[in-house]
Amino acid sequence: MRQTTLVEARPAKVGQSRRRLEISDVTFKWILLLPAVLAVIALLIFPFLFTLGVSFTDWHLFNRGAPINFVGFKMWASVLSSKYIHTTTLNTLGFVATAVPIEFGLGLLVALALNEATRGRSFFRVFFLMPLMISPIAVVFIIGRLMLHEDIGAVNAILMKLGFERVMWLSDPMTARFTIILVDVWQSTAFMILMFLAALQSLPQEPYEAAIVDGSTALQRFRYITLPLLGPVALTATLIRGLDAFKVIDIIYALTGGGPGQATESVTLTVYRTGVKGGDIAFGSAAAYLLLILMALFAFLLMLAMRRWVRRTTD
Amino acid sequence: MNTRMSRRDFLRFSGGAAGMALLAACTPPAPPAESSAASQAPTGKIFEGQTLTVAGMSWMWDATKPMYEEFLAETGIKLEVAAFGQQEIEDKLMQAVATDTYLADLIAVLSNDSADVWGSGFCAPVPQEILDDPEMVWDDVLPIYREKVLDYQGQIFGMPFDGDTHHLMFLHTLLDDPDNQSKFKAKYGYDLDPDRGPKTWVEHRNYAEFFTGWDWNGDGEPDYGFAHMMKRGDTAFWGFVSRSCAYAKHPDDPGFFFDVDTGAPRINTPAFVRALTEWKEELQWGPPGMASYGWGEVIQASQALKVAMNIGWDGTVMATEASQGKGKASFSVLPGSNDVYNAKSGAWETHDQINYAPYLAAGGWQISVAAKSQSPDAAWALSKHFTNKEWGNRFCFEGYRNPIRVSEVTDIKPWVEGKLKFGERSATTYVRALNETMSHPNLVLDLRVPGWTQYRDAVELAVSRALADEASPEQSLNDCADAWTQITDRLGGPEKQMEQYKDFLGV
Repeated sequence: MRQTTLVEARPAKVGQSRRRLEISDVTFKWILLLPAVLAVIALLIFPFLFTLGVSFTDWHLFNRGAPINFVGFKMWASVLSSKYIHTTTLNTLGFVATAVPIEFGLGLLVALALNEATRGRSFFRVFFLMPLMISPIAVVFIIGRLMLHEDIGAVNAILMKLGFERVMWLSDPMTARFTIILVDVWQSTAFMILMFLAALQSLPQEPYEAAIVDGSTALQRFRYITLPLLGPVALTATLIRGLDAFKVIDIIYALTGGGPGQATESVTLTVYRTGVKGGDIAFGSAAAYLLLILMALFAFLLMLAMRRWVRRTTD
Repeated sequence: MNTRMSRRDFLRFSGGAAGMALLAACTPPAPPAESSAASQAPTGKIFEGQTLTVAGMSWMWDATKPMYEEFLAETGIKLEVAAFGQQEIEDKLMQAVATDTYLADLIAVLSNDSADVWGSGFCAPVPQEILDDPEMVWDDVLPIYREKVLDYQGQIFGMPFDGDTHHLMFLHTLLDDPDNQSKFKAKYGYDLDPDRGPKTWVEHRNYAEFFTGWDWNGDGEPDYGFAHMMKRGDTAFWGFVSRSCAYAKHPDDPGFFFDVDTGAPRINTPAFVRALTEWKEELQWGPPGMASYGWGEVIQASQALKVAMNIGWDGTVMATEASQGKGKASFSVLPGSNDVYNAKSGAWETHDQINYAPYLAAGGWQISVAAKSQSPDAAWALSKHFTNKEWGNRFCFEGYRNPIRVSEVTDIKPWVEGKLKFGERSATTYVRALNETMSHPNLVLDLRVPGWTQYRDAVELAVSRALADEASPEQSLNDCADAWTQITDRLGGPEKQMEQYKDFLGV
């Protein structure tokens, strides 16, 4: 291993007593990396392990003066056996399984249309990306609380003028789930459009030219060239949106508060209510880890499925 | 010039920086400065260069800005306002308390939160100089607030800002109408009462039914009997408790939410089940989607004259510019009931006299100074200015906050002739309703125990599940009682929690 002498750049002074500190290149690299490593440990690994550790205690922030006891898997058992958590987990899975595919499909369609557009492309690009620029709370207020107001909202007024029944957008459990998805789709489809449009515009033209020479139809070119080439971007976009959807809280918190009943409550909202606001940090930590496990499983299955899909499409 | 750093220089520099950072981290934080000038009348810019951060609702600090700007200019205090919505401020505060982190110098504290906020040492007790300050006129603060709401275990922590009780609002113009009177009597066999409105929940149901489904406000659309706050994660807790009080608060039993002797939750007694069952039935007499109404939606519906009655705080909202109900609204104590559940005997009782159980819902927003404030003198000076009698009265009579002082519920003149122009009949009934509520021997004090937000969430979930048909009222409240028991156990057990509950009740 090559040794580096720290003082090699300087000539030794006559008569000076000095200790030569010799460190290897590898050590020096580690020294340079140390601040970043410390930052990662402090900001990522420590909270990660701390939360895990807390989930094995009975720590409650508002139980002042009480000792913090190690209780093993008791909190995990509480979380796993809690009907409340079962419902919020199912709600979260249902939300992810519905909202993300819709956003994927709509995003792809709009991106394909924008990619082909010859007039007004710049305008429509900005137009379709506008929802991303608006705060989710503002979206909730405009769409959820004003347009979808059950008594005086514009949407119900139009529907009733057309002879339809009044829709209980927020008071009926089934419809409220749909409303949450609707608001999320309205806002987050723009992200999918952005990803797909960027990918479409960077696709190589040679395969298309060759396919046209071979007499392929537009549908065949989409099926056998565009889709497989979009695979990596589709995977990334779905992964990002999916993980984001697992953590949904803002729209739900502002629009329904998790109700009616427990119909729209997500795991993140439960963690927030119990662990952060309610002070039951041990239960909240265990629930947060449950969500983390679900998200990791989702990411693993998604990558597996996408890999198979890309392989099958290209075969 | 050679700007390249040798490895030795690099290590020296890095080591020095790390050492300084370590030293800084190990240095204990400076203790909050002693409050010495708290009671000094500010003369000149005595707080020049001091910046105070305040956390509260926008209506508290933004809307009242013209009223304290002069004080800021005189004292040199620079103010940074962190304005939040009602839910947000409570969320922020509870997070800060839970993690013991600085939030602001002056904080708006909801009375329900005070066991957690004041009990944790997050806020400083009011200094003796302020308690002795003649400007504050503490004797003018209504006893229920001075002795209960602002006090935590024998020490005053809150500066009197906002008093909150729930009362009934009804449109007396509808009840005055001879045609409505004759039709109502023909249908229900008794008279509408334009002075008091419905006196029991049975009458409230009749009134609600009568004023639902026809256009009594002349806008061409059918109107509704009432609006109550029912939205989960908003104000459903207070709405439901108001609906339950008359059934569940026995005049001979000091306990309401819990049995004070055993700590057993009472939230699933037949009294609460009956209230929830009836509330659900009554949805038909409210606006569509009322189950997702928070207090904001109730106000909007009331101001737009879409509903004939409501239950809530802030009666003065009916007199604002945004309201079409100026001069049309009257107020009364919450409806009572002849049927009262005795939780001790486990049986319903039928009383000859109506059992009224008014509700000190939430108890109001009080101003507290954070224990971690680095400018406590300036903070106390501003809080004193904001809550003293002169300014407090002014805020109140202009409709920025609800009455908390005797002087605000004795004379209707400032209400009628002041900026608000409340209307004589509205003002008379409003002041009467507040006085009757706050002096009532069977008054229900709100829940103020450590971890209260978890208890509240459990109630709101139960109410919401029942209203959404996810479970029967009985089942959802039984689940709620189980959740309360678990929460109590997590917070140290019934004995520990009841100590705090009984202290607040004065048992």
